[in-house]
Amino acid sequence: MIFSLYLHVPFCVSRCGYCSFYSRATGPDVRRGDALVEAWLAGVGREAERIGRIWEGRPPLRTVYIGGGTPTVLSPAVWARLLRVLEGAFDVSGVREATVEANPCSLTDDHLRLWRDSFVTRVSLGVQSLRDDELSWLGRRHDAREALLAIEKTLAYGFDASADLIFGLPLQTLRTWHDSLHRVVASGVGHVSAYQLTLSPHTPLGKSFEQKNFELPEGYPFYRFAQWYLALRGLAQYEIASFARPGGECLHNLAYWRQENVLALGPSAWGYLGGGWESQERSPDGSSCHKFKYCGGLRYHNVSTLEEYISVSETQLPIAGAERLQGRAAKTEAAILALRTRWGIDAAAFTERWGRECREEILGVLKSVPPRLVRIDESGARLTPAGMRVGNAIWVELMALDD
Amino acid sequence: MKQENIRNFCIVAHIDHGKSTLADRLIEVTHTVASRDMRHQFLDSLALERERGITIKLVPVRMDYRARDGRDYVLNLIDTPGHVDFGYEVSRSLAACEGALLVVDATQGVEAQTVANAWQAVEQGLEVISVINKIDLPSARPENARKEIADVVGLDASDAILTSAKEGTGIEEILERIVSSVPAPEGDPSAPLEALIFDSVYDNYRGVICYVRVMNGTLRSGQNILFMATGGRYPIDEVGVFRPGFTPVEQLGPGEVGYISASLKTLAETHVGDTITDAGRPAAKPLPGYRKVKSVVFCGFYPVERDAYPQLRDALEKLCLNDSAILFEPETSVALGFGFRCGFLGLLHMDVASERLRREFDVELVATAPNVVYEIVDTKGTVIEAHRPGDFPEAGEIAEVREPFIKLSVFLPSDYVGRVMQLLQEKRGVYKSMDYLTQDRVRLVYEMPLAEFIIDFHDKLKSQTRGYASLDYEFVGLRASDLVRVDVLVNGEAADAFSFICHRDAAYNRGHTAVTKLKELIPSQLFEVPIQASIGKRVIVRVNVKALRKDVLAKCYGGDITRKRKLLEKQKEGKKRMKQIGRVSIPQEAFLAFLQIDGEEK
Repeated sequence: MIFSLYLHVPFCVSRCGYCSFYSRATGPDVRRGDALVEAWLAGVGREAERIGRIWEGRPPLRTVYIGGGTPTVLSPAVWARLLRVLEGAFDVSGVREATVEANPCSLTDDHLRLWRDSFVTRVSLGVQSLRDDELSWLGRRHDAREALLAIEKTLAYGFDASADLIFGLPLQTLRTWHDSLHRVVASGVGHVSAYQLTLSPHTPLGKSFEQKNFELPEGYPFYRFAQWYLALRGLAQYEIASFARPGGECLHNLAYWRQENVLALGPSAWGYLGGGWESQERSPDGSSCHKFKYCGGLRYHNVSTLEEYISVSETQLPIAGAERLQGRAAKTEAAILALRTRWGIDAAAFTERWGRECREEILGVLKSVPPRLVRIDESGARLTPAGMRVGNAIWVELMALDD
Repeated sequence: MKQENIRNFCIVAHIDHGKSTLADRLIEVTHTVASRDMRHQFLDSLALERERGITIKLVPVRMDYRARDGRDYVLNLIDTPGHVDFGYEVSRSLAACEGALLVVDATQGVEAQTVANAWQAVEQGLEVISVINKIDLPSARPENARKEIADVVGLDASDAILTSAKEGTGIEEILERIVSSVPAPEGDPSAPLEALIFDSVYDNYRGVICYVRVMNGTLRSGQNILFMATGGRYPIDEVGVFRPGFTPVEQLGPGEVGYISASLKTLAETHVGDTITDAGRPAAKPLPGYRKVKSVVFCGFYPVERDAYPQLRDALEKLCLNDSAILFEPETSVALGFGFRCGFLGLLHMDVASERLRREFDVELVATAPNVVYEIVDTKGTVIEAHRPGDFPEAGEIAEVREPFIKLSVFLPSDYVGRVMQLLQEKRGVYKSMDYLTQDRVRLVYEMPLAEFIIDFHDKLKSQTRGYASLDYEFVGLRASDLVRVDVLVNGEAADAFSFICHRDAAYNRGHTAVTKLKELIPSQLFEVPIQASIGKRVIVRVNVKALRKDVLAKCYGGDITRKRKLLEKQKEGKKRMKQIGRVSIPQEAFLAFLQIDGEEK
């Protein structure tokens, strides 16, 4: 068995108003921040060790993704220790892709040098926009110049580089969107993730929008433009929000959509285990017995706050909850996730895994969808660019099969 | 009580010309209610009435009054419902009285319904006493009101009593006038019993209580009685009078007004207008004028939550114990599920019923737009009663469609005549007459289809005349009209819930309004959805609901997948609650918005 690993770094210098990921603002108080980081790192060490104990060895990794939060707020010195922890607990010899999320204003040469000398292969930069007014509206701490500089440096160190961009901002026009896309592509990244801004009501920006009764602009023109423009510039759309030059697709993210094994590490991290194994574990005092039974299609997540993580990981795996998809729901989810990608549902593979009947049911529903949205042939079914724009509506049709 | 000292009277008044306040004063002056128990609008029986300040019907009351001649009198006030929907009940209430107070607002003058009710009083031989109320108001013009009573109603108003019920002026004079000019009731106490039911109510403890006026003979507790219209026989449990609460007495003689209770379980066992007689010694024939009330306006009541159907049924059953004029039968709607088709005497009646279901029974319901019953003669000569568009045969099989017509009188300031005539024209009204009541008040008489009247006529009339118009109507029967059924097709499939009946000339406009409204209400689908209105096979209007262009699609890694699935599940649940018409999903709310009555006022 081989795994992907997702490690969550729950620290940011400051929280962005639109972000709903878990992270702690370390703030200007470096010493307090340092203490939290130390506790977190110790927790990660303990958690990784426990996973290793269950696996009875060092789990072999194929892809790694270190996200956050802002992984680059960790100093190079902490990074060196973190990498040592990971290399100690996991077998990284077979890693084909290891991505680190980086913030343009905290990414340093020291980080890049350190990563270059480790198993890290890829840097995903939180560019978001190359317009300063849009960046400041988002509350980002960097400007366009810094973002481009960070891309340039990343590429210079030989990493694969990806840039995140956001559309559907209140100030954005098709021109400014084009400008961001154009300059990002020109900077030489091989991968772009384009997200529509959605405001969760739990975020500060979400709250203020709700209060002021503001509405975000319709995303359609931006998204459609990105689909056209990025393809034109050689970055083909291979997933709802992902565009890459050939061979530049993110293997780690593909693991999610293909329901491959992903191990979770760090507070609020999520994992997925498609295989199964059982484990028994004893507390240090030998009294209590923790049993984790991993079976097919188990998605689980760690405790969400740093405090909980630190205390729980003292005695056991910091898993907060898990869900196991069963029956129809598992099959439908597999189909829906597959349809997120350019390759869609591979008829042969899908049949092998879920059976002919299930494949026919899924294809039957897709056949009722207008053909301009879905291509269906012998080899399987995949969404057209127009289909990708209305994915939710198509997936809801598929989910009706669950009843 | 000696028969010659009884006076039975009612009040005829327009909706806010001060009936309730006047009744309050009469009760106070006669000390019928101890002053500590007195409250505003004492006789308004429904919470709804008191809240809205409108009175549909006051509860009856018996008052003792020592007149200036030194003698003691019993005055029974029997109210008439102040709304055109309850015209039949007005005639029954009038039949129980010998006199009527015609109350006219000194600031407004005579209103349409007042005229109709006053004329009925005259027709039934009642002594009519004119009362001009609200003379305390700065805008009061009592002389104009007096002139209108003479000119419009045709009664001599030179001796009209000027009152301010609010300030209590003129109240004694009214009482004195009732004593002096309203005749004492006639009737033979030893003749076979004849008692007129002029109202009935349902009481949770005693069952049905009939309000009666004894014409001849005597009503006693324990007596075996016969309801002449229904043929029901019951022993009387209790006989009593209104003080104003139910107060038992030994017996009621001729001319007396009171109530009986007789173990009647539902109002359906008694009918307003029926005659009660002694089962052992029945009257030769019932009192004249009884007829069964007929529903003229229909609508569907559906529970908002589908599983609340049994609650709605229970509530309707209980409501009907109180109001036997409501008809209901189960009905199924494609859009709304299980519900009831309900028949009412008119729009206010319908409105009050739905409001009472909401308030008194706590039922959340959807009321579909009201409609009338059509009569269709098909090519084979068969007559079909059509309650809903679905009852209409195919266009080719229809020989004739008949619809109920009303004769409508509108009283309005002359400034608004042009506008109102145009409105009546739009509503397919046929001009009958126009005359000036005074220099600046006009009466318009039109005949128009009831269906047009119930859509939004009242609202429009109010807004066109800034509330200064009043109206009255009566049925004039069924008439042939060029009516068509307009079907609405969603993606080529007929959607029954949206079809409607209208005049051929209005089909295009109404069809256009309907499809445009639906275009707003139907969410974008994965494909373009044409919405058409058609008469038979011929499409008269078409609009398209554009295909969905884009969802908000978020990134989806790790835990996002679970969140995403939950989101999609929610969407799926939402979609499941939607109604499928062919391949098109239409949310329940769209049906509601389409079918529900617009606005608050009917």
